Amino acid sequence: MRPGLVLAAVGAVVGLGLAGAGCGSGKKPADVAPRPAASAPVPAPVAPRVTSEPLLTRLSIVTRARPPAADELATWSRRIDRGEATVDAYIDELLASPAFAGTVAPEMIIGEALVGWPYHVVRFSFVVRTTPASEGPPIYYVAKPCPRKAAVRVHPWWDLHGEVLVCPDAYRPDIWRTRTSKDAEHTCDAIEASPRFGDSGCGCGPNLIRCIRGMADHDARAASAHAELRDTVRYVIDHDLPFAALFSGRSTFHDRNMELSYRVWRIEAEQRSDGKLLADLDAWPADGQWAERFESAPGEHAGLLTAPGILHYFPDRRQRQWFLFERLWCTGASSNGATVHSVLDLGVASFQGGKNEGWQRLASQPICTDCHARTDYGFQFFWAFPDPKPSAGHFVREIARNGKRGMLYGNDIQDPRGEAELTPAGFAGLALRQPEFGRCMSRNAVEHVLGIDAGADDAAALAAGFDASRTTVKQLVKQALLRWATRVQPGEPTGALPVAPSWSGTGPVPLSPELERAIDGTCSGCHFDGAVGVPNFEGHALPRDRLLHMLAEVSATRMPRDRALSVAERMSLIDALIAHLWRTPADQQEARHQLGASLRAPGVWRWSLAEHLIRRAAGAPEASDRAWNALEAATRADQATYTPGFATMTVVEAIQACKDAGQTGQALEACVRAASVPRLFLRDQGPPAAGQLAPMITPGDADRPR
Amino acid sequence: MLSRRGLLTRRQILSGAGAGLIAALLDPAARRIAAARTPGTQARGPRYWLCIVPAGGMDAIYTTDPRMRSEVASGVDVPYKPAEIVEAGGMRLGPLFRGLTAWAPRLAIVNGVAVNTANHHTGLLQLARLRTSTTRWTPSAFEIIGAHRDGAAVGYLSLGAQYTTAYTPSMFGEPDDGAYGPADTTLFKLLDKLTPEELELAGRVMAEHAASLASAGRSERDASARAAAEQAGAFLRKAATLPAFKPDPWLPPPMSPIEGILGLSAHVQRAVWCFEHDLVATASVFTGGAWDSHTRNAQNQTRLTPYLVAILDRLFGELDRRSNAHGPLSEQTAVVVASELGRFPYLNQAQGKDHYPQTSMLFYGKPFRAGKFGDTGKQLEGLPVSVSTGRAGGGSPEPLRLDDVGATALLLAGIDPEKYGFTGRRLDFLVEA
Repeated sequence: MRPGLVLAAVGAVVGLGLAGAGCGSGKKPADVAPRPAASAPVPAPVAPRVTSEPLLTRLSIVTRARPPAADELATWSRRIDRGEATVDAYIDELLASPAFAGTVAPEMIIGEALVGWPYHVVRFSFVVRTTPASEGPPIYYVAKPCPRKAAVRVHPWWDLHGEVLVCPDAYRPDIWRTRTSKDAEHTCDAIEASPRFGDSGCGCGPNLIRCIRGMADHDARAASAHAELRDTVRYVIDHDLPFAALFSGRSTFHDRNMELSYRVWRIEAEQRSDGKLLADLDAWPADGQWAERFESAPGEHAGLLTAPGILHYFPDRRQRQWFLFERLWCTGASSNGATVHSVLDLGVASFQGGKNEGWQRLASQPICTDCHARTDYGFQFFWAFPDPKPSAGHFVREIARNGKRGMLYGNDIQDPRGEAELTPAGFAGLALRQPEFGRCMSRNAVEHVLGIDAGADDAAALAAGFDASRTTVKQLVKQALLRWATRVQPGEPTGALPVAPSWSGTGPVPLSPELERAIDGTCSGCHFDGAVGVPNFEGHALPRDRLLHMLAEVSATRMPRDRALSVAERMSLIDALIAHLWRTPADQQEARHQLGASLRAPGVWRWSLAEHLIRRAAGAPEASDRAWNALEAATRADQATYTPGFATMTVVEAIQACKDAGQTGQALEACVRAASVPRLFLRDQGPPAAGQLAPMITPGDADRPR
Repeated sequence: MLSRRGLLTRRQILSGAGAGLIAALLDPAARRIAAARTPGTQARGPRYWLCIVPAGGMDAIYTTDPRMRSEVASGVDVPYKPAEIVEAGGMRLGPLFRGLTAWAPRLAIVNGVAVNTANHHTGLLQLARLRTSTTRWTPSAFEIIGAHRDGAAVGYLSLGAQYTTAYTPSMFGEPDDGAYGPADTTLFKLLDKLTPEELELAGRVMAEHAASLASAGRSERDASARAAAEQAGAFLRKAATLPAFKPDPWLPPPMSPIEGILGLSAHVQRAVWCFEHDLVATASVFTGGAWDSHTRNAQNQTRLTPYLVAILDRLFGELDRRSNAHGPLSEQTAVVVASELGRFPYLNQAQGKDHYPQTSMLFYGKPFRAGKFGDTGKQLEGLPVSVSTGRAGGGSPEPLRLDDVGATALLLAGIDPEKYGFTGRRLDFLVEA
């Protein structure tokens, strides 16, 4: 498309799309008289850009983390090409696979919480040690060993029918709270009650529930926390339950380790050292089941929002609430505008919540309100889950706010979204009804499917029909897949930049009519003469510094808000601004290469998918005991690009996979080459040739979820 | 992607110098740009950059901005006696920076740098990039400098980040131990286990992949992928020729438990090792957010900051001691130390301190003018300062911003910050002419 037409299209598309976006401080688009959008043709999607075999291969990779088996591919493509079957039907089969429900979809929905280590595990920093075996039956201790005759017999949580010897100061089953300073009292399951911070007076507690034996227990707890998140998503998908089932209600799919954790919450809450709550724990299936969790007070639970893997992913209320909104509403990490004066002007010394503290002022202060109205009023619903670091790691019934009601806010304190009982269930009931939830789940789906090419219009198309109480994961992802299958691939920018009016080099820079129209349609909804707190972009000429800031914001994708431009539209606007800011071809080309470079980055499948592809290509066993500790494993799908780090990871994983497959010598080298070839991972390259896929494809290869 | 070695040499960046000179005389903004582009007026850039981020928020009153009670507003926490303030190198250091006394004559401190956020995630997003108003897709200033490197295998290395917001478009590195998986499954732990033959194989294979992308692809995306594969291949092949990296015990035994949790010493040593062997050009090293002392500020800051200082003391000594083919590392390396946030000057009800949307930064290296800059007020708030003097007054309209530091770093490297979306000012007070 010619630059001028794209620029005009930018104005048309975005001018219509600003209704939901926030503007600068204190101003909303609703306050602004709508600007007439420039009329211009917008290209419609045309015929599919790929034929059936490559398309079917990619659909399989993005839903099952593997290409189809050779016979499966041949059969389906033949039937589709003959009109005997549809891509729609193939997608249905893919989405019914165990790999989709158990591996791909959980990562798409839960994100980094599936790999990050929750603080409730870290808080188990009561690590018991044992006396040397040479001294006889081991005695468990925390700080230092005791004489054998002083040790007591205990049924530990890891062997409730057995007995171990424990030093009394490591046991202390009747100590539930501790005072670690003049002003601080913690329950014994708070992080700061840990012996790491000195002798708090706490011990491992009844059945040694607060203690672990070492990293193996630590890793097992983290794995169980992750499994609860993953298996709950799998269960919801397998039973065609709607999205709401993930983040509301008392039930999750959790294993015996997690059931132990929930019972420990109750033990701590009720201060019970009689052991009865753990008596039948052995009856719980080790691998887990879908079951309700005990509630100390009604509304304690809200699906995965109160699962430790998410609840304790961050160590304090505010960060936790931020993360809940990040997962539910895709609010992201862009909290800007705070100044030292805006914080000092609040006139309080503490912003942590509770009585007489500054959180309410923070929530209503200009700039701060953009995040804090949402997070700080939001964490009131989770008040009975205090900060695990200084306070407690369980639901504290005494501070639950049942019977009290509170507000939920959206963009700021002027944007109330409703009122509900101050419980996690009350929060979920409100939060899942908001349009942000549907947009966020839609965004997760399109980013997974489209990667770096996902745009706001893609997510908006899916969100249009979203209903948390009815829409299922399969339905949403299917829409994304069909959208991808019929998508027009945007071309890369052509060599020519738009023409800018001449400029003397001083004073305001005159704008071309095209750029002026694009700015008018894209930016002037918020950036107009008289707008509060934001620069004015009206006029036929603008100061150079203002154009520079505009370019910086647009190329960084911060503006316009909500990423309302497609890649092509954004690049077109960037090109126009470059043409106005630099006047020599060399400067313009250099700026063009740099600004917007990330928009042209080579998208790849996210790392977890890539790992599967590598192991398949190597002919290695599917399951790997090693989960990579890598940022690539935790970032959003639209950030997955072929970086030096990603490239290195592929070849390191390929070496391990090929060795696991028994390859040596020259065969090892050939295997490593095949299993790390970039086109295995690059989204917009063609799929591997059939010969290259041979090691991956075993006839009748069944899905083997991770 | 930015790694376009061979297509963006310094000569090409400077090629438009003549055309910019006239505009430079007429427009202050253009003057700044011309200063970056005109040979002879640009500062010499360090070959290596190291950014160390003690995440969570170091407390300036203990370190870079010490005060006596008479110098602060009523209620501001001053948790030590005046005699504990250290005078060194013509500036005052807080008691927890006592261990840097010997280095003070070679250090620059800039207080009151506004970061525009009170949120850790946004703060780290920004500090990783040395600019505010940024997104996940914005490249880091260090990546940009690394993309213009002269010979090192990889442009940018990132170690130890705890949050995904530190992930940058040219990512090469690993997060904090245990952040997203078991501690022994990070990229470098796995690389350390490969034999030299395996490293050579990996490097050779990546070089072949890069070549195939060069021959097959014509798009910018292919070019970016090729550049990434080239960097990976170059790093691996070079690593195959070197003895394996092993960290030394830099710290006294009482600090070993902290190192066991934070791992900063090992990460810093790996970065220095990479510089020594010209494996990377720039590096950011993060800790977990341990300095986020919302409770027990005195105990937490007092426990952690000496650990950082011990590492910095050893680091500067190592930079003096080590050399490579390009000369002593101390002559070639710029070090920046900063948290993503500061701490509120008043104590809260848990004897902790909440967030303050500004940071203090410490600079080491030949390009920097030693001394303390960035005046702050009675509540330690950054004051508007002159970019010429670094002092309050002079008619400057705004306090120092992180963007100014990012722009200055790019200018030091001979790069026009505007062409990368950096809109900060050149901090003339900080850099030697």
